[in-house]
Amino acid sequence: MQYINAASSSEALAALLKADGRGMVIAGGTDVIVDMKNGKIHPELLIDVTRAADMQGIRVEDDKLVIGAAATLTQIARHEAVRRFYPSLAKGCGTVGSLQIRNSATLAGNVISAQPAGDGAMALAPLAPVFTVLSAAGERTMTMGEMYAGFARSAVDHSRELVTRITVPLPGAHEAASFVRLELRKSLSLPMLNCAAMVHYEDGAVRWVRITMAPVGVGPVRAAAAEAYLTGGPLTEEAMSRAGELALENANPRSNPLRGSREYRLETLPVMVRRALEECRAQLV
Amino acid sequence: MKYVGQNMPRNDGFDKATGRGTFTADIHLPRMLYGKVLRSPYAHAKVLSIDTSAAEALPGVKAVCTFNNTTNKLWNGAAPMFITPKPHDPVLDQTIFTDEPKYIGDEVAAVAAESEAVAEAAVRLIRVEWQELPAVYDPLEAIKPEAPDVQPKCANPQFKNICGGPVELRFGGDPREAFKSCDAVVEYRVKLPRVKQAQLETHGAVASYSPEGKLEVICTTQAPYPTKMILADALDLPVSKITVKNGPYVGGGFGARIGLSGKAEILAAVLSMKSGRPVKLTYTREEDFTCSDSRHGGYLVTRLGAMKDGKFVALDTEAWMNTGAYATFGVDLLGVCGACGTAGAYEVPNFHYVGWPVYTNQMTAGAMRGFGTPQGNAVVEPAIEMMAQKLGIDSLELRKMNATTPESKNWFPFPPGSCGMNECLDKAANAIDWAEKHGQAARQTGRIRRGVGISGGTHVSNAAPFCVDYNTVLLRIERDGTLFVNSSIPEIGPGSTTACLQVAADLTGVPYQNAVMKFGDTDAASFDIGSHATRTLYTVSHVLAKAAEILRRDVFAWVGAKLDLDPAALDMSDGVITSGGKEVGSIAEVASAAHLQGKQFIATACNVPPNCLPFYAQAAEVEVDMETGMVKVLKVAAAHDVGRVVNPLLCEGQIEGGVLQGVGYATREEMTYVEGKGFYNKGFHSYMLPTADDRPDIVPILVENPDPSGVFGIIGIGELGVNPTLAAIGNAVEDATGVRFHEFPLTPGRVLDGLKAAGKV
Amino acid sequence: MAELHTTINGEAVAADVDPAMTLAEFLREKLYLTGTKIGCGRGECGACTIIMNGKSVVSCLIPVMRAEGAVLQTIEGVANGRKLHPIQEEFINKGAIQCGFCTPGMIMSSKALLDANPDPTREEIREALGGNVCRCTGYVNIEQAVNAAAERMRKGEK
Repeated sequence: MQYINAASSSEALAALLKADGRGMVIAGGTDVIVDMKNGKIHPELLIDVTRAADMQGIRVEDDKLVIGAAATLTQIARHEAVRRFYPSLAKGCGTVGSLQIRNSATLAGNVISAQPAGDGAMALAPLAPVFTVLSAAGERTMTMGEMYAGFARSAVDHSRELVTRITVPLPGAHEAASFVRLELRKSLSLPMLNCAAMVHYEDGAVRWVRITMAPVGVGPVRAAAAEAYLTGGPLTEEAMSRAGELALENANPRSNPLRGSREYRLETLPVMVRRALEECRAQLV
Repeated sequence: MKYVGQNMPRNDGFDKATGRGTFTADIHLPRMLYGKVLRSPYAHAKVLSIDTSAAEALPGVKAVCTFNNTTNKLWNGAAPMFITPKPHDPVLDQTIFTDEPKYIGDEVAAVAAESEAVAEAAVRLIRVEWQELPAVYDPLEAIKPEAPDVQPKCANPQFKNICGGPVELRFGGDPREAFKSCDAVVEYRVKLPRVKQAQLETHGAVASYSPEGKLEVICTTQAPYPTKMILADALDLPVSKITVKNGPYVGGGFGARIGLSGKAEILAAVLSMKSGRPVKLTYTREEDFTCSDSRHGGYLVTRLGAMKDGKFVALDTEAWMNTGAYATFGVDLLGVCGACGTAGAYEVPNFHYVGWPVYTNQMTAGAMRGFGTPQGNAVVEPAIEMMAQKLGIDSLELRKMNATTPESKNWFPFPPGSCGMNECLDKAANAIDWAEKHGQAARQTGRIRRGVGISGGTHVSNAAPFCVDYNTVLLRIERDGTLFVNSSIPEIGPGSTTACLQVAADLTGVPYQNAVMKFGDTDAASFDIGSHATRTLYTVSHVLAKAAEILRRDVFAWVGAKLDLDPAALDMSDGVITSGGKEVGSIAEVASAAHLQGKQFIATACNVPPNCLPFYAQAAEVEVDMETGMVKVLKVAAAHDVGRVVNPLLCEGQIEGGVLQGVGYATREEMTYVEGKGFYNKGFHSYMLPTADDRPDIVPILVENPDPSGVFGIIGIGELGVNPTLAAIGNAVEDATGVRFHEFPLTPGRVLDGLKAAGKV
Repeated sequence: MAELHTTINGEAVAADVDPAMTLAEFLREKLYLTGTKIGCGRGECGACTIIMNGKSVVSCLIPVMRAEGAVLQTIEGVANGRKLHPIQEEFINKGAIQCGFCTPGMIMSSKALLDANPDPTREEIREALGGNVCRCTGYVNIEQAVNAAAERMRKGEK
């Protein structure tokens, strides 16, 4: 096996294309190395982008938060701008695995691993993120929903293309986001359920709301029925509870031997959706 | 006592804090090979054919072993093979490899190769034709007449899928009769999970076999000498020609390896015998989780009868525990469950227990910290709560009024000891604010409810006389007066080697400073069982006492002869020898002079220890989220009567670690079986033991009621921290919610279901 | 095989390595720095924790070539000969060590924390140690050791 430390995203792409499908990009590596050890993948070439200069850093540019694809989850969770504008993103990123994992792992990687309830990805989901993807065809952008091709399958083919940055519009006035997690343990465990929301709430009415929940389907699932119900109305306790109930219409959780039966997840999903909405509301009063 | 009672820094601290201390997996020997195992993917199957030719042909492969080219002799890989006392016989139902695997993971073949990667690749090249056979997984299913037989040749022929036989204990009258005259009778049933020791160092061994018939094994066992005996018998080698030693350090055990570490030692040994080279075989974490002894899960039911003044009259308990595919400790554990778990803590004039070790086609269950006592405790303590509610008596007072006293007669053949449970109950209750916080369920209406619960209990301080239990030790004084002790106890974490040296220094009168113990090596010392049954400090103290007396007599005889003094008037303390109180010399001077005259002071002893019951009580405070069923343990106060503390810091450490294991047992940990796939919990990510950021406050409380049977009054402590925690937490959850639970762990799903069924949400 | 140039415990190290190796394997099997332990090999227990460019990482998931040009600290580099680091001393003094298998990783996580954050809150200590599994101690004395070491380090002890 060969290993290249790429100095830039274009160098990484060139190496990737040269390997013609036999190589793959590795950022944090906390998923890739585990998959290699478990015999799931056998790449002939690994292209390490952790030091690619143009993929580093987190910065505010115009009215957007730009997160380099090589930024680690720890860097994101502790970044002053992230904490100021999107504390829920800091919270979600700060929940993945353990501090050691977060010191290597990236948010882009958390999305690409396509685990439905990846905490970083889930916290990001309702923020309308845009992923910039570099391939032989040049640069293109993808939305959150477009990133998921199927259960635990990313739409990004990391043997032919790579995410270079994630761009998130800054919240405007009257906008707040949240992230909640139902967990058996804080560290080293996937959640039983997680839920993230973002709402624009002005003059006592919801202008728009995005509610994502997992693991209740492929990737972060939008609670469309709940969103439709809330839009235009007030964010009262009653409305948030009702929205929680309506979230069930778009949720199809499976039973997991460890992280909750389907019945339990259906029972507690409304609670978690409600709590996510409550956390948004608390930031807006 | 100069050293007993002091926080002497542990003698392996430097090694462990710097990473210099080696463990089995750190050992590198010249020309060493790496072993990997082929395991059955079926819970029950017949191997119709096995073709190892492709594996053998792979470059780098130096040996392939199967049931075709190794001995099929039957043995028991755990200490019962050689600690089962007559007239009983241990159940011998294990072989190195099998051609009829009985659980997913059962060993069918193994490979030794120049690297782990090559060995793994070779394992994948072994072609096996399997015929899947019917299997059974639950103990209550396995005892039904139509269930498939797990061990047709080795199971007790009188029963269905029973290992060894039911263990039945009686004391006093028949409870079934006595219940008729009780003012109140309560019944409590509970289902308990399998949980896993999950010690940080996985099972492993490095074995070197020499063609002239000598075997040396460096390994993770917590019982080196019994392991030596087991290997000798299983491989038909003379016991004298086998060396078993630890790393010298062992990364935890908690019962997982009282004997072979899974099968690491014997697998490495046969691979070394076949290849002619040293072989290292370490279990992956997945293998450690799914292919080595766990705690027994299963079903228990108890009935408790009492009079209206609270006096216990009768206790009758039955247990069906899932012992898995092989015996190991199955029979012994069911005995301890009944004895220590139900017969010792409270006075009950009409007592009965029967325990069934049931074979199933799952991973074996064996020794895990507490060894049946946590299970027995888990069924009796809630029954006491139920009785308290029925009689309208505070459950703390109910326990205290029935607690075993030094004068109590019970099932145990030895005096109970100093019996400090009531003091433990009071201190634990105090530390949890019992009076203020208990009994508030009816007053709480919010989403978050709190409650407190308590549990008492007992255990033993070693396994005598139920099992063979004895120690030997060798003491010697070096030329400069320093003390050297040879013992084959291991150091698996508790700091036993430090604490034992403290005791040795006070017993011999030789300074603790520069005293050394050589441990964990069967060449360097003679028989000791090792770390098992809470025995190390208590029993080693006894054999040290015997040897110290001999050593001192030897020193005083020599000094008396040389200085013309009456040996009976001599004393030695902290290295200073006195005659009638007057200083006559130091041990350094004496040893040096003796050496030049052809004398070294040595003493050996062999001793069967007495026994006593260690008492304890733990109280827990919990918080329950009524919307999600999430139980959070806020605090556990753990009061343990240790008789006489040898090293307070080490002693508290034992309690704290045990308590957190108990918290995991009560609220999160379980091995969940998925039919056709095996246990879901294959790693730390899928096994919910507590982490540093998810734990209650733990308050250890050391109580000292010196025990008449203990050296300096010492009572055992090792296992006890985990014994009553589950019951205390279950009682606390009932106090918080008004709902009693009958299945553990109290995961959110179970709790929410229970709250709904009781109409609480 | 590939050439690796890295710095370990202050020493420049050059080696020929198989790029498929993890950093943990390289340290333990090639350099015989066996103080770093393997508890699971999947990054789920923290026993293999080392400090890489000032951050705690699980070395069993770090591809060895990522160490190119990096500055690594392992447990073997923490003491100064016979003189133990305050963290090591407090781990011994406070009873934070039992079987010792989690200890190197635990000390490295503690050191990474205290080198960057000399006055951590209880939450910050628990965050730093949340990925280090210990089955022996219940974490109680470990936390006390970190606090005691932090106090000594704030006073200037190294």
